[in-house]
Amino acid sequence: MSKFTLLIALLLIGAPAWGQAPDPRAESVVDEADRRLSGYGDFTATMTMTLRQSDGSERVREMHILGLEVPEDGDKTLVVFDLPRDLQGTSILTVTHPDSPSDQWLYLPALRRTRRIATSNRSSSFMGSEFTFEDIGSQDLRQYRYRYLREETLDGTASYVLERFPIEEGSAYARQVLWWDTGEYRLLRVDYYDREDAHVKSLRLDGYQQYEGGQWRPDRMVMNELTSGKSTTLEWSEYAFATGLSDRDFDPRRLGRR
Amino acid sequence: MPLPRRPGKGARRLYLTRKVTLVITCWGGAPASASAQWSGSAAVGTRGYPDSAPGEAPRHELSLTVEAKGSLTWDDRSQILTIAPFIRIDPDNRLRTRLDFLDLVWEKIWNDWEVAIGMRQVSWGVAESAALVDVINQRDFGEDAVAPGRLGQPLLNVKTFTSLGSFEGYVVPYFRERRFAGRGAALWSPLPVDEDGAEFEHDRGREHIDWTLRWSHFVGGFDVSLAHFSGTNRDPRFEASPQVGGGPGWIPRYDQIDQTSLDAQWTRDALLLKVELLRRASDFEKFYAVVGGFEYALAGYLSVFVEYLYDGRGEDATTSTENDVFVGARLLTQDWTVSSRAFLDYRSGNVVASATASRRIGDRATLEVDGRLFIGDPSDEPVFARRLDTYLSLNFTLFL
Repeated sequence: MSKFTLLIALLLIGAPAWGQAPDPRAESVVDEADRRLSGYGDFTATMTMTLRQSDGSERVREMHILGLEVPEDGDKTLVVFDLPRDLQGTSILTVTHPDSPSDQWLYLPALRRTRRIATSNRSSSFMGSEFTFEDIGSQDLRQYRYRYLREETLDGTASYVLERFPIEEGSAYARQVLWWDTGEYRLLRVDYYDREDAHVKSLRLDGYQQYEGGQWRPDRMVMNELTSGKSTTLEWSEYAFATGLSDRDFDPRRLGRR
Repeated sequence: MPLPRRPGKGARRLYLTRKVTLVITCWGGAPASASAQWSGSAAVGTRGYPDSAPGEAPRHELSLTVEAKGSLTWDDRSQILTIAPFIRIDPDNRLRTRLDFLDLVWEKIWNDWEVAIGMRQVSWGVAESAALVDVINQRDFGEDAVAPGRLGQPLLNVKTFTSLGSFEGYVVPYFRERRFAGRGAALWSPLPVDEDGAEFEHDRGREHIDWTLRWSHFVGGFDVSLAHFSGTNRDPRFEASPQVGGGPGWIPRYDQIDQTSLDAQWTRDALLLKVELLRRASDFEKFYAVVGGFEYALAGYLSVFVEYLYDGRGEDATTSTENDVFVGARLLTQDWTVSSRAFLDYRSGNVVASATASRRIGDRATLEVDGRLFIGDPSDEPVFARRLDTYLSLNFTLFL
């Protein structure tokens, strides 16, 4: 199994590559966390993205997001911008594939035109935020090797702490450290270390709520860039699962209607 | 006893809502599931030309543009009514002033089929520098000669999506003429165009019913489309006339054409290869035209483009890019969109360079500076092509 969706992939970790020196304790945590995030079918949600500069100035982006889980193949995600208004209706469709690069299409409402676009560079920023495309998972997240570190209490919550290393070249990171709570396997924190093994970014996820089908999703994700002091906050609302979306809502030839 | 009150704003709104509900009921949908959304923008722009053009063309143009798009969706999202009015006002030029519907269309959607009836925009093609294969809508050169807008086009469209690609058929019943008002639509030829005296090859003129078929498919990184159009040419020829506004000039003539076109793109990571090819045949001319090249995303926010454009009509072409190399770049930042582009004419050595910088102001406005530079000899350009004069323009857009 290797399913991940833009943004949802922050939570979904996909099937890791157990081939090299499998760590059974890491394997059980990752598989269980993955299992609990699968089976959502489809979802819609609204997201507010706040970009904070080091001088404290803020920019706000609002979008609604539709996702479709496709068993045995890649998932489909449609991001439709609502704010700023000059981007209203602009849509990005991402279709991931288990064994090949993702496909992306851009719909521009002023031109009534859909075009296939270059699949984003893994280390480039998503919409000017502190999240890169690698962070939000338009790339194949199976390409990690996992290691169990310890069990510890994070802000009063008993957590598993794991470390993962990208296998393929081209990652901006040497390693990441991840915290899951031991009760519901919810991702709580990710620390990112660059190629020089400096701790450069830290992601916190909180405000978890349980939705239909037992799906847990966080209300807030905050990515702090540690050297510059910049940060990006994603606030999620209006989550709905099993809303009856189908392939036709994610067909690149039929964009511009959501 | 209470006095009978005149219906106020609220009452009118209620009346409108009722009307909409009635329409929905007629089409068999559940009114409860209907949803509506709309967006709009108003823009004011001013453009100055340092050179005076031949004839009456002014050195300065002012535009007030209002665009809106509203859509109503019902019947489990399978029926959509879209209305997109467009208004442009030029206080100095009545002929550039226009009210149009870019979309005024009803669509019915099934899993593998779609039907649309009304006026709409149909956008085809992959190239950055030209929209060669795009054939259904007449162009609106009222703003710009290089990246024109479109006029709404009445049509009936049926599409089906199959494992062998999608198939589209269009019946296009009412022809809309090209307008020549404004500096963006003016020809290199100094003689005036008699747009009210247009002639048609077909006896039925504007009433001729055109048709188009298109097949498109994507497999892996390949996107490919084949299309055929049969009907009235959107792109007129010009015939000399001794009497246009008291002197010699040109009469636009709309021939019947058969046009077959191919457009294809191959996308691999950051590289996009693109080609558009067409063959147009009428009783008066037969030619090929092509545009092709590549786009490369140096980073997520910076892309470069290189394309080559060829038009087999050469000096008789109705475009200035009949044998040109195009280079361009686009930069996106959090608040800015900056693009620059240049056409280098292989035959004449003329260069047309342009740059646009647009900055977002708050959440609801943009300010754009746009400039173009023509370097070379205008007499080397095809006389029936639109002028690419040097200009500088400033546009402010408020999104509602």
